[in-house]
Amino acid sequence: MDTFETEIVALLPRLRRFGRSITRTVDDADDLVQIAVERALARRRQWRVGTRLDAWLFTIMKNAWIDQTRARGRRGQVVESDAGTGVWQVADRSQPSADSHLTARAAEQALASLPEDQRIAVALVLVEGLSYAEAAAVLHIPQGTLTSRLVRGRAALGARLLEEANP
Amino acid sequence: MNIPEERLMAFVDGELGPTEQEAVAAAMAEDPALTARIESMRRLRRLIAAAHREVLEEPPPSHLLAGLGERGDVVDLAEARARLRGPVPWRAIGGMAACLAIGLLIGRAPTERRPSPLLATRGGDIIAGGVLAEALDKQLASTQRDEAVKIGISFRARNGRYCRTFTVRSGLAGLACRESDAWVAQTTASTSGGVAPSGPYAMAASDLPPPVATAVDAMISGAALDARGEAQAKARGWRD
Repeated sequence: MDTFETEIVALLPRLRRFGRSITRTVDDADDLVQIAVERALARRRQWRVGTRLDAWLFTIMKNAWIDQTRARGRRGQVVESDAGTGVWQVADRSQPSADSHLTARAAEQALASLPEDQRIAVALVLVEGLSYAEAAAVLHIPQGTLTSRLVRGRAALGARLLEEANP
Repeated sequence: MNIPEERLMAFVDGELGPTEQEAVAAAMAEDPALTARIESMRRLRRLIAAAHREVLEEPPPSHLLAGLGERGDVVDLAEARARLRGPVPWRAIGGMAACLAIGLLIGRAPTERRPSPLLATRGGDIIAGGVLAEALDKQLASTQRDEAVKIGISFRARNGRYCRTFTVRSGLAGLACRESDAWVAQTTASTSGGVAPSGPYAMAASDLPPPVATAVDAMISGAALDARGEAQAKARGWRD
Protein backbone atom coordinates (compact mmCIF):
# COMPACT_ATOMS: atom_id res chain seq x y z
CA MET A 1 0.00 0.00 0.00
CA ASP A 2 1.20 3.52 -0.58
CA THR A 3 1.10 6.20 2.09
CA PHE A 4 -2.31 7.46 1.14
CA GLU A 5 -3.90 4.03 1.47
CA THR A 6 -1.98 3.24 4.65
CA GLU A 7 -3.30 6.41 6.25
CA ILE A 8 -6.84 5.55 5.27
CA VAL A 9 -6.52 2.12 6.87
CA ALA A 10 -5.26 3.78 10.06
CA LEU A 11 -8.32 6.06 10.03
CA LEU A 12 -10.87 3.29 9.52
CA PRO A 13 -11.80 2.97 13.23
CA ARG A 14 -12.58 6.68 13.47
CA LEU A 15 -14.46 6.59 10.19
CA ARG A 16 -16.53 3.69 11.54
CA ARG A 17 -17.23 5.62 14.70
CA PHE A 18 -18.32 8.70 12.77
CA GLY A 19 -20.44 6.43 10.60
CA ARG A 20 -22.25 5.07 13.64
CA SER A 21 -22.87 8.57 14.97
CA ILE A 22 -24.49 9.77 11.80
CA THR A 23 -26.22 6.67 10.41
CA ARG A 24 -27.44 5.09 13.63
CA THR A 25 -27.02 1.42 12.66
CA VAL A 26 -23.84 -0.64 12.53
CA ASP A 27 -24.49 -1.97 9.02
CA ASP A 28 -25.38 1.42 7.57
CA ALA A 29 -22.25 2.82 9.21
CA ASP A 30 -19.88 0.31 7.64
CA ASP A 31 -21.64 0.57 4.27
CA LEU A 32 -21.15 4.32 4.40
CA VAL A 33 -17.47 3.92 5.26
CA GLN A 34 -17.04 1.56 2.31
CA ILE A 35 -18.67 3.98 -0.11
CA ALA A 36 -16.57 6.84 1.23
CA VAL A 37 -13.34 4.90 0.91
CA GLU A 38 -14.16 4.02 -2.70
CA ARG A 39 -14.86 7.65 -3.50
CA ALA A 40 -11.71 8.75 -1.72
CA LEU A 41 -9.59 6.34 -3.76
CA ALA A 42 -11.24 7.49 -6.98
CA ARG A 43 -10.66 11.14 -6.09
CA ARG A 44 -7.28 10.86 -4.46
CA ARG A 45 -5.80 13.55 -6.69
CA GLN A 46 -8.17 16.06 -5.09
CA TRP A 47 -6.61 15.62 -1.69
CA ARG A 48 -3.69 17.94 -1.01
CA VAL A 49 -0.82 16.20 0.70
CA GLY A 50 -0.21 17.75 4.11
CA THR A 51 -3.84 18.70 4.75
CA ARG A 52 -6.05 16.80 7.17
CA LEU A 53 -6.97 13.49 5.61
CA ASP A 54 -9.50 12.71 8.35
CA ALA A 55 -11.42 15.96 7.72
CA TRP A 56 -11.40 15.23 3.98
CA LEU A 57 -12.77 11.74 4.56
CA PHE A 58 -15.44 13.01 6.99
CA THR A 59 -16.56 15.43 4.28
CA ILE A 60 -16.88 12.59 1.79
CA MET A 61 -18.82 10.52 4.32
CA LYS A 62 -21.13 13.38 5.17
CA ASN A 63 -21.90 14.02 1.51
CA ALA A 64 -22.44 10.33 0.81
CA TRP A 65 -24.83 10.13 3.76
CA ILE A 66 -26.80 13.14 2.55
CA ASP A 67 -27.07 11.48 -0.88
CA GLN A 68 -28.44 8.37 0.81
CA THR A 69 -30.96 10.10 3.03
CA ARG A 70 -32.18 12.15 0.11
CA ALA A 71 -32.69 8.96 -1.86
CA ARG A 72 -34.51 7.35 1.03
CA GLY A 73 -36.66 10.44 1.52
CA ARG A 74 -35.81 10.67 5.19
CA ARG A 75 -33.86 13.89 5.17
CA GLY A 76 -34.35 15.85 8.37
CA GLN A 77 -36.66 13.32 9.94
CA VAL A 78 -36.06 12.58 13.55
CA VAL A 79 -36.54 8.87 13.99
CA GLU A 80 -37.34 8.94 17.67
CA SER A 81 -38.60 5.38 17.78
CA ASP A 82 -35.27 4.00 16.55
CA ALA A 83 -33.48 5.73 19.37
CA GLY A 84 -35.92 4.48 21.96
CA THR A 85 -35.77 0.80 21.09
CA GLY A 86 -32.01 0.38 21.35
CA VAL A 87 -31.07 0.18 17.71
CA TRP A 88 -27.49 -0.52 18.70
CA GLN A 89 -27.09 -4.28 18.55
CA VAL A 90 -23.41 -4.13 19.34
CA ALA A 91 -22.21 -6.90 21.58
CA ASP A 92 -20.68 -5.26 24.58
CA ARG A 93 -17.28 -6.81 25.09
CA SER A 94 -15.23 -4.17 26.67
CA GLN A 95 -17.29 -2.24 29.15
CA PRO A 96 -15.58 -2.25 32.54
CA SER A 97 -18.78 -1.78 34.51
CA ALA A 98 -22.51 -1.86 34.04
CA ASP A 99 -22.73 1.87 34.77
CA SER A 100 -20.39 3.02 32.02
CA HIS A 101 -22.10 0.62 29.62
CA LEU A 102 -25.44 2.18 30.39
CA THR A 103 -24.19 5.72 30.08
CA ALA A 104 -22.45 5.00 26.78
CA ARG A 105 -25.62 3.45 25.39
CA ALA A 106 -27.69 6.38 26.70
CA ALA A 107 -25.31 8.83 25.06
CA GLU A 108 -25.49 6.98 21.75
CA GLN A 109 -29.26 6.88 21.81
CA ALA A 110 -29.49 10.53 22.76
CA LEU A 111 -27.17 11.39 19.87
CA ALA A 112 -29.27 9.25 17.52
CA SER A 113 -32.38 11.17 18.53
CA LEU A 114 -31.04 14.53 17.39
CA PRO A 115 -32.12 16.09 14.10
CA GLU A 116 -29.54 15.40 11.40
CA ASP A 117 -27.88 18.83 11.23
CA GLN A 118 -27.31 18.90 14.97
CA ARG A 119 -26.30 15.25 15.12
CA ILE A 120 -23.59 15.61 12.47
CA ALA A 121 -22.27 18.82 14.05
CA VAL A 122 -22.08 17.21 17.50
CA ALA A 123 -20.47 14.06 16.05
CA LEU A 124 -17.72 16.05 14.36
CA VAL A 125 -16.90 18.30 17.32
CA LEU A 126 -17.68 16.32 20.45
CA VAL A 127 -17.05 12.78 19.26
CA GLU A 128 -14.40 13.17 16.59
CA GLY A 129 -12.73 16.15 18.24
CA LEU A 130 -12.59 18.51 15.28
CA SER A 131 -12.23 22.22 16.00
CA TYR A 132 -15.06 24.60 15.15
CA ALA A 133 -13.15 25.79 12.09
CA GLU A 134 -12.44 22.25 10.89
CA ALA A 135 -16.01 21.08 11.41
CA ALA A 136 -17.41 24.17 9.67
CA ALA A 137 -15.13 23.43 6.72
CA VAL A 138 -16.27 19.79 6.55
CA LEU A 139 -19.91 20.91 6.57
CA HIS A 140 -19.27 23.84 4.26
CA ILE A 141 -21.12 26.25 6.56
CA PRO A 142 -20.13 29.45 8.40
CA GLN A 143 -18.70 28.91 11.85
CA GLY A 144 -21.66 30.78 13.40
CA THR A 145 -24.07 28.28 11.88
CA LEU A 146 -21.98 25.44 13.26
CA THR A 147 -21.92 26.84 16.79
CA SER A 148 -25.66 27.44 16.84
CA ARG A 149 -26.22 23.82 15.79
CA LEU A 150 -23.90 22.75 18.60
CA VAL A 151 -25.74 24.88 21.15
CA ARG A 152 -29.13 23.45 20.12
CA GLY A 153 -27.81 19.90 19.96
CA ARG A 154 -26.19 20.13 23.37
CA ALA A 155 -29.30 21.65 24.90
CA ALA A 156 -31.34 18.66 23.68
CA LEU A 157 -28.67 16.17 24.79
CA GLY A 158 -28.30 17.82 28.18
CA ALA A 159 -32.03 17.79 28.80
CA ARG A 160 -32.09 14.08 28.04
CA LEU A 161 -28.87 12.84 29.62
CA LEU A 162 -28.19 15.09 32.54
CA GLU A 163 -31.70 14.74 33.87
CA GLU A 164 -31.27 10.99 33.92
CA ALA A 165 -27.99 11.34 35.73
CA ASN A 166 -29.60 13.57 38.32
CA PRO A 167 -32.99 12.04 39.17
CA MET B 1 -22.19 37.59 35.63
CA ASN B 2 -24.26 36.26 32.78
CA ILE B 3 -22.12 34.77 30.03
CA PRO B 4 -24.01 33.62 26.95
CA GLU B 5 -24.29 29.88 26.28
CA GLU B 6 -22.23 29.98 23.08
CA ARG B 7 -19.33 31.57 24.89
CA LEU B 8 -19.40 29.04 27.68
CA MET B 9 -19.55 26.28 25.12
CA ALA B 10 -16.52 27.69 23.32
CA PHE B 11 -14.73 27.89 26.66
CA VAL B 12 -15.47 24.24 27.44
CA ASP B 13 -14.41 23.26 23.91
CA GLY B 14 -11.14 25.17 24.15
CA GLU B 15 -12.10 27.48 21.31
CA LEU B 16 -11.64 30.83 23.07
CA GLY B 17 -8.52 32.92 22.62
CA PRO B 18 -6.27 33.22 25.69
CA THR B 19 -7.65 36.58 26.88
CA GLU B 20 -11.29 35.51 26.69
CA GLN B 21 -10.45 32.18 28.27
CA GLU B 22 -8.87 33.88 31.25
CA ALA B 23 -11.86 36.19 31.58
CA VAL B 24 -14.22 33.23 31.86
CA ALA B 25 -11.94 31.41 34.27
CA ALA B 26 -11.76 34.53 36.43
CA ALA B 27 -15.54 34.85 36.38
CA MET B 28 -15.85 31.22 37.47
CA ALA B 29 -13.74 31.91 40.53
CA GLU B 30 -16.27 34.51 41.67
CA ASP B 31 -19.47 32.76 40.69
CA PRO B 32 -20.44 29.27 41.93
CA ALA B 33 -23.51 29.15 39.71
CA LEU B 34 -21.32 29.77 36.65
CA THR B 35 -18.96 27.05 37.80
CA ALA B 36 -21.88 24.65 38.11
CA ARG B 37 -23.02 25.45 34.57
CA ILE B 38 -19.54 24.83 33.23
CA GLU B 39 -19.15 21.59 35.15
CA SER B 40 -22.45 20.43 33.71
CA MET B 41 -21.30 21.21 30.17
CA ARG B 42 -18.03 19.39 30.77
CA ARG B 43 -19.87 16.34 32.04
CA LEU B 44 -22.08 16.32 28.97
CA ARG B 45 -19.03 16.65 26.74
CA ARG B 46 -17.41 13.63 28.39
CA LEU B 47 -20.58 11.59 28.00
CA ILE B 48 -20.97 12.36 24.29
CA ALA B 49 -17.27 11.95 23.59
CA ALA B 50 -17.59 8.33 24.74
CA ALA B 51 -20.26 7.49 22.15
CA HIS B 52 -19.33 4.46 20.02
CA ARG B 53 -15.87 4.43 21.51
CA GLU B 54 -15.68 0.64 21.48
CA VAL B 55 -15.44 0.57 17.69
CA LEU B 56 -11.97 2.13 17.96
CA GLU B 57 -10.69 -1.09 19.51
CA GLU B 58 -12.12 -3.38 16.84
CA PRO B 59 -10.09 -4.53 13.87
CA PRO B 60 -11.92 -3.24 10.80
CA PRO B 61 -13.99 -5.88 8.98
CA SER B 62 -12.27 -7.35 5.96
CA HIS B 63 -14.74 -5.94 3.44
CA LEU B 64 -13.57 -2.45 4.37
CA LEU B 65 -9.96 -3.43 3.80
CA ALA B 66 -10.74 -5.10 0.49
CA GLY B 67 -10.61 -1.87 -1.48
CA LEU B 68 -7.30 -0.83 0.05
CA GLY B 69 -3.97 -2.38 -0.65
CA GLU B 70 -5.18 -4.58 -3.48
CA ARG B 71 -4.69 -1.80 -5.96
CA GLY B 72 -1.15 -1.00 -5.15
CA ASP B 73 0.72 -3.76 -3.43
CA VAL B 74 4.26 -2.69 -2.81
CA VAL B 75 6.47 -5.49 -4.02
CA ASP B 76 10.16 -5.46 -4.40
CA LEU B 77 11.91 -5.62 -7.71
CA ALA B 78 12.87 -9.26 -7.46
CA GLU B 79 9.29 -10.31 -6.92
CA ALA B 80 8.13 -8.14 -9.80
CA ARG B 81 10.72 -9.71 -12.09
CA ALA B 82 9.55 -13.14 -11.08
CA ARG B 83 6.02 -12.22 -12.04
CA LEU B 84 6.87 -11.05 -15.52
CA ARG B 85 7.43 -13.60 -18.20
CA GLY B 86 10.13 -12.99 -20.73
CA PRO B 87 12.85 -10.34 -20.73
CA VAL B 88 12.36 -7.56 -18.23
CA PRO B 89 12.66 -4.07 -19.73
CA TRP B 90 14.23 -2.53 -16.65
CA ARG B 91 16.84 -0.40 -18.37
CA ALA B 92 18.22 2.38 -16.22
CA ILE B 93 15.73 2.06 -13.41
CA GLY B 94 17.04 2.67 -9.93
CA GLY B 95 15.77 0.19 -7.37
CA MET B 96 13.84 2.70 -5.33
CA ALA B 97 12.23 4.37 -8.29
CA ALA B 98 11.12 1.04 -9.60
CA CYS B 99 9.64 0.13 -6.25
CA LEU B 100 7.75 3.39 -6.26
CA ALA B 101 6.45 2.77 -9.72
CA ILE B 102 5.46 -0.76 -8.92
CA GLY B 103 3.99 0.15 -5.59
CA LEU B 104 1.79 2.82 -7.09
CA LEU B 105 0.97 1.39 -10.36
CA ILE B 106 1.24 -2.32 -10.97
CA GLY B 107 -2.00 -3.11 -12.61
CA ARG B 108 -4.46 -5.90 -12.54
CA ALA B 109 -7.58 -6.27 -14.60
CA PRO B 110 -9.48 -3.04 -14.05
CA THR B 111 -12.95 -3.40 -12.57
CA GLU B 112 -15.73 -0.81 -12.45
CA ARG B 113 -14.95 -0.09 -8.86
CA ARG B 114 -11.43 1.15 -9.48
CA PRO B 115 -9.85 3.46 -12.03
CA SER B 116 -7.49 1.93 -14.61
CA PRO B 117 -3.95 1.74 -13.33
CA LEU B 118 -1.47 4.09 -14.96
CA LEU B 119 0.92 1.26 -15.71
CA ALA B 120 0.14 -2.43 -16.07
CA THR B 121 2.11 -5.51 -16.89
CA ARG B 122 1.36 -7.31 -20.14
CA GLY B 123 3.57 -10.19 -21.06
CA GLY B 124 7.09 -8.93 -20.62
CA ASP B 125 6.19 -5.27 -21.00
CA ILE B 126 4.90 -2.49 -18.86
CA ILE B 127 2.22 -0.59 -20.72
CA ALA B 128 0.44 2.67 -20.00
CA GLY B 129 -3.25 2.68 -19.11
CA GLY B 130 -5.92 4.97 -17.76
CA VAL B 131 -5.22 8.67 -17.76
CA LEU B 132 -1.57 8.13 -18.64
CA ALA B 133 -2.41 6.33 -21.88
CA GLU B 134 -4.95 9.01 -22.69
CA ALA B 135 -2.43 11.76 -22.15
CA LEU B 136 0.18 10.01 -24.26
CA ASP B 137 -2.34 9.53 -27.06
CA LYS B 138 -3.96 12.94 -27.05
CA GLN B 139 -2.16 15.55 -24.99
CA LEU B 140 0.17 18.01 -26.66
CA ALA B 141 3.03 19.55 -24.69
CA SER B 142 2.45 22.75 -26.65
CA THR B 143 -1.11 23.22 -25.38
CA GLN B 144 -1.30 21.42 -22.05
CA ARG B 145 -2.13 23.40 -18.94
CA ASP B 146 -2.45 21.87 -15.50
CA GLU B 147 -3.28 18.25 -16.10
CA ALA B 148 -2.28 15.51 -13.72
CA VAL B 149 -0.07 14.02 -16.43
CA LYS B 150 2.41 16.40 -17.99
CA ILE B 151 4.01 15.56 -21.32
CA GLY B 152 7.65 16.56 -21.74
CA ILE B 153 9.25 15.96 -25.10
CA SER B 154 8.17 13.83 -28.04
CA PHE B 155 10.67 12.34 -30.47
CA ARG B 156 11.34 9.63 -32.98
CA ALA B 157 13.48 6.79 -31.72
CA ARG B 158 16.18 5.08 -33.72
CA ASN B 159 13.88 2.13 -34.29
CA GLY B 160 11.30 4.44 -35.87
CA ARG B 161 8.86 4.46 -32.96
CA TYR B 162 7.44 7.63 -31.47
CA CYS B 163 8.38 8.19 -27.85
CA ARG B 164 7.25 10.71 -25.25
CA THR B 165 8.44 11.63 -21.77
CA PHE B 166 5.91 12.25 -19.02
CA THR B 167 5.56 13.19 -15.38
CA VAL B 168 2.61 12.27 -13.20
CA ARG B 169 1.64 14.61 -10.37
CA SER B 170 1.95 11.86 -7.79
CA GLY B 171 5.70 11.78 -8.34
CA LEU B 172 6.47 9.48 -11.26
CA ALA B 173 8.36 10.31 -14.44
CA GLY B 174 9.05 8.12 -17.41
CA LEU B 175 9.55 7.47 -21.08
CA ALA B 176 7.09 5.51 -23.17
CA CYS B 177 7.17 4.53 -26.83
CA ARG B 178 4.24 3.67 -29.03
CA GLU B 179 4.21 0.06 -30.11
CA SER B 180 1.45 -1.41 -32.27
CA ASP B 181 -1.40 -1.06 -29.81
CA ALA B 182 0.01 0.39 -26.59
CA TRP B 183 2.46 2.80 -25.04
CA VAL B 184 5.28 0.71 -23.66
CA ALA B 185 7.21 2.18 -20.75
CA GLN B 186 10.93 2.12 -21.44
CA THR B 187 11.93 3.53 -18.10
CA THR B 188 10.39 5.15 -15.05
CA ALA B 189 11.73 7.08 -12.10
CA SER B 190 10.41 8.98 -9.13
CA THR B 191 10.53 12.73 -9.12
CA SER B 192 11.42 14.46 -5.88
CA GLY B 193 9.12 17.24 -4.71
CA GLY B 194 6.33 16.11 -6.95
CA VAL B 195 5.35 19.47 -8.46
CA ALA B 196 5.98 19.61 -12.19
CA PRO B 197 7.04 22.94 -13.68
CA SER B 198 4.40 24.68 -15.75
CA GLY B 199 4.52 26.02 -19.28
CA PRO B 200 4.47 24.31 -22.66
CA TYR B 201 8.07 23.17 -22.99
CA ALA B 202 8.89 23.27 -19.32
CA MET B 203 10.31 19.82 -19.26
CA ALA B 204 13.49 20.05 -21.24
CA ALA B 205 15.48 16.87 -21.24
CA SER B 206 17.72 18.29 -18.56
CA ASP B 207 14.82 18.52 -16.11
CA LEU B 208 14.12 14.81 -16.25
CA PRO B 209 15.30 12.43 -13.56
CA PRO B 210 18.61 10.97 -14.64
CA PRO B 211 17.40 7.49 -15.57
CA VAL B 212 14.80 8.95 -17.93
CA ALA B 213 17.19 11.47 -19.45
CA THR B 214 19.67 8.66 -20.04
CA ALA B 215 17.02 6.62 -21.80
CA VAL B 216 16.09 9.59 -24.01
CA ASP B 217 19.71 10.09 -25.00
CA ALA B 218 20.07 6.42 -25.78
CA MET B 219 17.02 6.27 -28.04
CA ILE B 220 16.49 9.64 -29.69
CA SER B 221 17.04 9.98 -33.41
CA GLY B 222 17.69 13.58 -34.34
CA ALA B 223 16.00 16.34 -32.36
CA ALA B 224 12.84 16.41 -30.27
CA LEU B 225 9.64 17.25 -32.19
CA ASP B 226 8.53 20.86 -32.20
CA ALA B 227 4.89 21.87 -31.72
CA ARG B 228 3.98 21.17 -35.33
CA GLY B 229 5.81 17.87 -35.42
CA GLU B 230 4.06 16.86 -32.23
CA ALA B 231 0.63 17.75 -33.63
CA GLN B 232 1.33 15.87 -36.85
CA ALA B 233 2.49 12.78 -34.99
CA LYS B 234 -0.65 12.85 -32.87
CA ALA B 235 -2.81 13.19 -35.97
CA ARG B 236 -1.12 10.08 -37.39
CA GLY B 237 -1.82 8.17 -34.17
CA TRP B 238 1.88 8.08 -33.32
CA ARG B 239 2.57 5.71 -36.21
CA ASP B 240 4.33 6.12 -39.54
